[in-house]
Amino acid sequence: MKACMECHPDKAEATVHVKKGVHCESCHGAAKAHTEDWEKAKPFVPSTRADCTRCHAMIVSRPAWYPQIDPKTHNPDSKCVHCHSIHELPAVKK
Amino acid sequence: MSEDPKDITRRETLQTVGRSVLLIAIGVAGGVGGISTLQNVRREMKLKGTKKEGRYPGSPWYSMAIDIEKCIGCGRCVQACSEENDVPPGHYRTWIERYAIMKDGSVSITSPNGGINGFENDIDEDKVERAFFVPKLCNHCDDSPCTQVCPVGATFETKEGVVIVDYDWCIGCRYCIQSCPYGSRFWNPKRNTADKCTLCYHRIKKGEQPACAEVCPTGARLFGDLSDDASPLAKFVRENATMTMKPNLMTGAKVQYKGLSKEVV
Ligand code: HEC
Ligand code: HEC
Ligand code: HEC
Ligand code: HEC
Repeated sequence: MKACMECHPDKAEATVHVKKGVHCESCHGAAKAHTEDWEKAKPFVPSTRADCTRCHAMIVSRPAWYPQIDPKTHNPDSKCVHCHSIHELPAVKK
Repeated sequence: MSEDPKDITRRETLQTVGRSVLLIAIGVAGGVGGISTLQNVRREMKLKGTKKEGRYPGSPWYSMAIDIEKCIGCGRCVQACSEENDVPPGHYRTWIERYAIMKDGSVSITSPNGGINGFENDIDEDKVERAFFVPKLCNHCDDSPCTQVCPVGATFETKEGVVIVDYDWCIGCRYCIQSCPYGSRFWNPKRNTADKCTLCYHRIKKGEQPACAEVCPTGARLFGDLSDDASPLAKFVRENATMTMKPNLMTGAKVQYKGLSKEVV
């Protein structure tokens, strides 16, 4: 995380996830190669619903405090990032 | 690892010798161990991450705490571990189990591919009393059965309390794999040795977190130094009712669980 901040301080600022301690690599995948040579190795950029539902789909064994949605009923026709900004405010786009 | 023929012969020979010596050793240890274990019971009962006579055997004394209430079963830890440590597919140094305690009293435990791809919501909610995820890893026991059965001393506990395997010295007899009551060890077909969680020894030596703890999105895994009262881990263990896995086995397990149900222990 620290390594990413050196070059992407702006990406951390408005991010609910980062504030809550979600590591950049938890979403962008292992990015060590990118920190060593950012031109050659580009990290994964999440875009699909599956990238988000992996952590947010409603699962009965997930703890109750944790924010979950039912992917079948929660705006099933759009990508999550159409409405939820990950790196900008407001977190839910108008 | 290179496999030169000399090495293979040594490994094979030692495997045979190791097996016979070990059978005898286990027999003897069973008898002697029974007595000495009983003597240690009282002392070990105070065990909280193998704290003996109020002190840890070493400093730093590394371990991890798992907060079950925080685990969302996303599997990032398993994935990060596999990538970081080049763990062959189908094997896991750390994995996630899903426990579902059903209303009829039965317990279902599942871990599809160690949880590396997360979990589906595939259990019938109406029949579930309680369900939760339990991340598992090597408990880095202070009196670990695995180090005791290794015939050549290839697996041992470092001075920081981390149980590791010397891959160059392991003869591949697999006794350690069988002896681990937590199922934390596996046969690594790439290395041709026993293998297991090292708490990412190569990372923690550099002051970094183990890969699994670093990527956990909810902070369900807390790595740190038990011997340093000021460390977040020591504080967590002080302030919460934590527990180790299978404490009745007196393995001196170090990994601390918060919210461990009786079904899991
Ligand atoms: C040495 C500086 C540096 C470090 C360290 C660094 N990045 Fe980058 N990163 C860059 C640059 C420069 C770009 C390209 C920006 C552009 O194309 O507009 C980039 C691009 C990216 C992209 C977009 C890739 C794409 O395909 O568009 C992501 C995602 C990213 N970085 C994530 C990370 C993460 C996660 C880390 C920490 C593990 C990290 N970066 C560390 C410099 C860095
Ligand atoms: C919750 C998941 C998540 C986390 C955590 C996260 N990102 Fe992102 N990131 C995304 C998504 C999704 C995008 C795609 C752009 C968008 O829609 O906002 C993105 C875009 C980016 C981009 C620009 C890529 C592009 O092509 O526009 C960079 C750079 C980046 N992230 C860096 C980081 C860094 C550095 C961190 C840690 C401080 C981080 N991200 C943490 C999900 C995440
Ligand atoms: C690695 C797991 C992970 C991934 C992947 C992830 N999130 Fe999250 N998300 C979290 C965690 C952890 C929180 C914080 C929960 C808390 O502490 O309240 C969170 C919080 C949120 C919240 C705020 C919810 C609230 O009510 O506070 C939204 C919205 C959200 N995530 C959307 C997304 C979207 C959209 C994506 C896909 C780009 C995504 N998340 C990917 C783990 C993840
Ligand atoms: C059409 C727009 C839209 C799409 C698409 C969308 N969401 Fe949402 N989402 C919302 C709105 C609006 C809220 C309520 C925000 C609030 O109350 O702050 C919300 C709330 C959430 C919450 C918080 C739930 C809670 O209990 O606190 C999470 C998590 C979330 N969305 C995740 C996702 C994920 C993951 C996806 C993709 C699978 C997604 N959303 C797709 C608009 C959308």
